Amino acid sequence: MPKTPFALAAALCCLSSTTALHALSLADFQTCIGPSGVGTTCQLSSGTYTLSTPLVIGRSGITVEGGVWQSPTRTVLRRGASGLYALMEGSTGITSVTVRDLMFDGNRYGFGTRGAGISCITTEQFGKVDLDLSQGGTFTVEWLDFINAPETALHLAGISTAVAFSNFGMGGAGIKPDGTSGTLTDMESATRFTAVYISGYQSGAYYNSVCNAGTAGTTLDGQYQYVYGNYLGRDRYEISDGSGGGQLTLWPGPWGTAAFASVTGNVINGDYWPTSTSTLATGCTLPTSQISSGVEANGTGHRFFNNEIEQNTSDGMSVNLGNSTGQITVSSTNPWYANDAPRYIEANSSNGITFLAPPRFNNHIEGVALHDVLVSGNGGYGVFFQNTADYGTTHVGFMYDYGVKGACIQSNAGLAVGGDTQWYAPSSMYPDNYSSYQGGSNNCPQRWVTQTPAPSNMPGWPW
Amino acid sequence: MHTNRITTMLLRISILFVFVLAVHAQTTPTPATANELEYLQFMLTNLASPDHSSGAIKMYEDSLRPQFGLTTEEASLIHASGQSLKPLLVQFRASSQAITNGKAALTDSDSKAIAALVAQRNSQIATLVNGILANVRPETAERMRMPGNVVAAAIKATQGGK
Repeated sequence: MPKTPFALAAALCCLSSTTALHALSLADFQTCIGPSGVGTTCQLSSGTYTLSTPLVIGRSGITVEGGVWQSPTRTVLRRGASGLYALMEGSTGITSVTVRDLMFDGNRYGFGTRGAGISCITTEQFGKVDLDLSQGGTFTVEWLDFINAPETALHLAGISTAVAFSNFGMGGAGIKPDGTSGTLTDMESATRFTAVYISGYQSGAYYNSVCNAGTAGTTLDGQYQYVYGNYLGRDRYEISDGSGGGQLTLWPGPWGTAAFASVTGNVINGDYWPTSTSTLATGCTLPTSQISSGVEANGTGHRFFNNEIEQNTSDGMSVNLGNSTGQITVSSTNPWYANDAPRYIEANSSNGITFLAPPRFNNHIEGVALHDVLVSGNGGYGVFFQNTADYGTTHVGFMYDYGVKGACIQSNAGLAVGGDTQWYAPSSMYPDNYSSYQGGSNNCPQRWVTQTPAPSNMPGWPW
Repeated sequence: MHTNRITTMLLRISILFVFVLAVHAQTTPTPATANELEYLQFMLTNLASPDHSSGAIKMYEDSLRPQFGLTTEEASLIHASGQSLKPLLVQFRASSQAITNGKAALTDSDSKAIAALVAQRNSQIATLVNGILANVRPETAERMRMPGNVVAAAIKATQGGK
């Protein structure tokens, strides 16, 4: 395993180049990025380009960029045909390519609205990825802006590929949900399904802003991947797959089973979405009676370090929903940055952390380790265990840190810690001290959300 | 007329604000490095974006409090910096559009003119960033430098320390 979370984010490259290049027309740009292109940088002149065929990156070792440095919205690639699979894609075997300073407008309302065309596609209509780098290889993707993706905004699947400093579903100019041209709000510019889908090996997402995705803001299904420092806001906005889930999903397939991910220093805010009266700005239909978590995690060996997970309508973290899962670590420490700001799992409408292993599949959770967790103000339990066993001595429930088996678990509407232990239970199911942070006593850090406890949104419930 | 007066006043306040930060930043022992600036530029341009909706900007800005452990005063300072950047980004856009409008491809001269505008914009952002770093608590400044530094360390590590 790499020693740093960034060990293979190699290509997050040099940042302050303002050297003037000769910006290209679309035709020349296509030639430049193709297998017969020349030069190390292919810069597309700023402007809006309506595409009917994908731009294909056909050679390695180049930078593919828009016309104005660190201004992605000045060079726009817009879908010009409803059947267009991708706006840009990488050929098989491409390595060391940087894609930057571009806006990808999936134009989901350009071919019909309120369910017509590709405005509200379903899982049966899958087949669109606006920036498709799923053929493997190594890419760096940075300073991009994605709006109006009719399905998936970005798919990475190589080795040590990274996306950084990019925005998803934050609003922008384009065709609106009513079919007119204008400025879309963030919710109108939503990605219909997943914003950032990361397969492959040792790839990651760093310091992006990922908002209003219809399913997960970020989904992982590869191994040794990193999600570090991102902001995920109000994802699972459209719930386009029909059921609730996580803003960040660690997923068993279809491209591979997520394992050994490091999820560190992210802020994941559900904005208490949806409520019982919510409607969608996209003109699509919101499934009824669905709620969403901050994190939905399946798989083995995942580590969650010091994430702020707040204001979700279900759990802050839901670990294991029917797939083989074990050796899960949740900690308030950032092992790569000791002075990081402490963050809470707080103000979620259900439990703070749920380890859920229904016995119907005979797949109990094989070990969890909780290190100094900060869990407060949730609408249910602070931490809930079901059918959760030990794994050796490293994953047995609440762990000793700084000589104390401590945690900050306070102000939750339900019990601080509880569970359904008729099958398996961790041997260290309870902390010794519920107000201890890093070995202290009554020294829990400042919370970030004042709501105590979170609103349940359930009629008749007392909160 | 009234709107123009308000706009003019806001621009003057913004310029004054930038000036005050610039003067204060001169006392900062360690201005942001190029690597640190990359993240902080992303952060500030998101707060001042003329493209993103106000709701998205508000949520993003709110996320910075738990991200960096900001006090109310620090959050206000960052907010004000974003507000002061907004008219500068609008002006930058207008100037760059004036160069590119109606052209399918740019000449070398056009590209150089845009590069000069980008350099000017980035210089203004650097002034704002250093003003922020000089006026927040030391621990906050360290946290705000962190994203760019860890990425730089990763690049160094993956390039064999070169």
